[in-house]
Amino acid sequence: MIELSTKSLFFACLIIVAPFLLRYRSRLRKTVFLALNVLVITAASHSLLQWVITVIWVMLPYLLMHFWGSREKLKPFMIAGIVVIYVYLAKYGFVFSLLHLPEIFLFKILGLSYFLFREIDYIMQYKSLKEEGYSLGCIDYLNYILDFYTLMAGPILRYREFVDDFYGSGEETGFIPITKKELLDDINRVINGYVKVYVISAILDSWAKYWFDGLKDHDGFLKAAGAFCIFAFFNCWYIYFNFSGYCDIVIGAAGLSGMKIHENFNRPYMSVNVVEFWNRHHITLSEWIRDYIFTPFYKWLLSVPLKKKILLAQCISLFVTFLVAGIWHGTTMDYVMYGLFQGLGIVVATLWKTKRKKWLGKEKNKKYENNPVVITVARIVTWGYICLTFTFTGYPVMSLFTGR
Amino acid sequence: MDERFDIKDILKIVWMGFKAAVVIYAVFQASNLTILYQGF
Repeated sequence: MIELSTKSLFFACLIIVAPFLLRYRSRLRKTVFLALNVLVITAASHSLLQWVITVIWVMLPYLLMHFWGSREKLKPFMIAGIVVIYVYLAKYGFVFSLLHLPEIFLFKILGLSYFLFREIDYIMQYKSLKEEGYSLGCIDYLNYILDFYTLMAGPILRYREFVDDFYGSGEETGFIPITKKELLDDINRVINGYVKVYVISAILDSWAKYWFDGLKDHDGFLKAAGAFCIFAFFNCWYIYFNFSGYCDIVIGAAGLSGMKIHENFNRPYMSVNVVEFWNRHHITLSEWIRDYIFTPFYKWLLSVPLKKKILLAQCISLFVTFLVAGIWHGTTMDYVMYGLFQGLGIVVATLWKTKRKKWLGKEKNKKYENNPVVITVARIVTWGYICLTFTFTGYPVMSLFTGR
Repeated sequence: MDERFDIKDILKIVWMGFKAAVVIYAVFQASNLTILYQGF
């Protein structure tokens, strides 16, 4: 068992050592990567039982597809089964209390929610990957699922991208060349990530906690609302610096090992509406939920229940998609609220854009969208809304209203 | 990599070293205040 600080030190050592082991393309490279991945999972396991359950959970999709991969009709059942197991292992409080489920496993598996995305991607893409001649061997599968760089907080990789990047053209051997610029930029990015996570976000987190803890001491609505806004301000910047800092660390560190990881942030707080925000914040998550939740659900709605009602189908699909994404973020009712507000924000932004186009016409709408005053106001409103919705992540905000 | 490091690169390395020192200092300070990164 590794303590919190020791874990961080272990991870820091790992990202220093890994480039020396992984930058050399050879037959052993994938085995070395697997060994590092297994080492991380083992170090993060608090008991043998946790390790065994993690291995079973990770291997399940591989075994299912290995034996029944050709049966397309079984796919929905496989995914449903995996989601049910995930809900149980992640310990969704409201599901447990609703169904009176017994808690058998007291531990939480490291990177469990990110495993889920990759496992579903593997199942969904299995047939096309096989047809395209991708390697679907056990080592490649395990490296994809357990990839220690992206295990804890993304970005979310796809199997195809992972294999393409890991093997390159497949003909190169020997040391993967690195330029001076790449070397310095990658190291700089890792250090910047550490500054964001350990210095800036740590300070912002302590300030956010201070203001949240003091909320109950304020008399009167205005004072409490003011304190809540200050808490929301610090909390939203904490989330940005912590998450983007972590992504900087893993993108830079993976770059040093000769691996490319997708960018996950593009100045999210500069967005002019919630739709744009999700195209700039946690980009890989947005792409994943677009491909595996929004698009299939939207197509289904248009095919049967809402034929020709495109806007309504779009709004329902967006709302459901972001509600699910919100619930995925955490296991309490606060995250359900977070998902509801994100879904609501997206639906309002979509409706406003569509209706505005109708009212103003193409030309006037373009002028409106390019107006600097409109852009500034839209950015402030969007940022304020996101600030408020982010308060539901990580803090028991619901308890302030319910008193529980 | 057979490129030479010029003065700009050396300054960049010094700047990175400073930032790394700030992180190490912050981590040692934080270990007493329990505000270490909680995400691992």
